[in-house]
Formats: sequence, structure tokens, C-alpha cells
Amino acid sequence: MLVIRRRAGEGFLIGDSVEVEILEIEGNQVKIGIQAPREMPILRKEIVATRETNLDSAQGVEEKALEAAMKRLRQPPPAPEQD
Amino acid sequence: MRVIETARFGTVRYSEGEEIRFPAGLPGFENEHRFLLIEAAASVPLKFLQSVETRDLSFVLAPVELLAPHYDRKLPRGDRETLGVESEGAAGLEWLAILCFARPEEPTANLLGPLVIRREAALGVQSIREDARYSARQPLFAAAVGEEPALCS
Repeated sequence: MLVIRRRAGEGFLIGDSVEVEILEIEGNQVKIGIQAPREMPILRKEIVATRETNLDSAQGVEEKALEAAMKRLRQPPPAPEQD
Repeated sequence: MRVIETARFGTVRYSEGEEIRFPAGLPGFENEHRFLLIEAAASVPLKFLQSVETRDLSFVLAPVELLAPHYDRKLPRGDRETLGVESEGAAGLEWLAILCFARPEEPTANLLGPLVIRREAALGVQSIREDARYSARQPLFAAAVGEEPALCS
């Protein structure tokens, strides 16, 4: 992974068509401006993760696996130690 | 009364008011807007989200509080607007995580993007957190890792 250090107001280019600018840094959040061609999708990583999980979750479930999940959720997880 | 055929539940009858509308769909299913929240005594505490438009499409859900008792229930502004609620921690909302059985022996729950449903308005949204504490694939049996299974009957 390429790592570069930038300050607010600075930016960088990806290829010829994408320009990224650090607009503002506040606490643990960074505001970023991106200029890219309209047809280039830009998605927050959490949304991509959720989309992939949703697609996986929409597949059928075996009855046995469902039963196991149900059982697990009906009772708190077993305590790690025995008395 | 409306009637739909579903892959998981067979014939389902319901009244129009029971439909829950997801104005934005769900990521990966952006064109699916109308769902039913199905609960059955035999599958407590699991619930199911069944598409009204696609008979094959349903999700298995679990209440977030059973997976993460201290789950941070602050709703981002965009999701509050979708649901028509004012405050970040609005009451009367149901928080449900979608379960994934892609590996049937290791189910996971999506705590990064739980469904938030407001029954009184029949509205829902998949609220995606910007919180690195929560995973889109949180193992359901995490506590059981490395432990001997309990006695089976």
C-alpha cells in the first residue's frame, strides 16, 4: 500500500482523471473532496461490505443451520469457566 | 387481504398495512422496496424479511440486542430523514441484524449495517455505521470457538 502524508488543503491525483483533496481535518474525521468522471463509482467501504454480505445472506439457509442459530440466540453464550 | 407465494414460507396472506417500505432498498438490492417482517413462534428470536416483489428473496434477522447488548443506536441524519424521526436515539425503532449463512457452520451477523424498522410508519432502512467496532460479518458462535460442544441429545 502506498502511504503519503498530506495536510488540509493539499491533494493528489490518481491517473489522469481522479483528483483527491483533503478539505478539512477535525478530530478523528477527515473531509475529502473527490473529482472524478461521473461514470466512476465511488462508494464508502462500509457500503461495499454490506452489499457483499447482503448478497451472501440472500442465499437459502439449511434448516439445521437455522436451528443452531436459534438455539444460540435463545440463551446467552456459555460461560467460559465451570464451577 | 393480499396473497403472495414465497420460496421460504409458501403462501403468505397479509394486509396492505403490514408491508414495510425501504425507500432506498438494501445495498445490492436497490430495486427492492417492499418487504414483510415475518415472525413465527417456532423461530423466536429470529425474524425474517421477505420481499413482496421477489418470491425467492428473504433474509434471516436477529435482534441486535441479542448480539451486542450495548450496541450504539445513534441514527445518522440521512437515516432519520428516511424514517421520519427527529432524534438520534429515537424510541419505537426495531434494530435487526441480517444473518449470513454462506458458511452454514459459521453463521455471521451484519452489525455494521443493521436494519432499522419503524413499525408505526411502516418504514425501514439499512443503516450503515461508520464505526470500526462493528463488523459486517460478526461470527455468531464467537464464544464457542475452541470450546467443546455441550452434550447433544
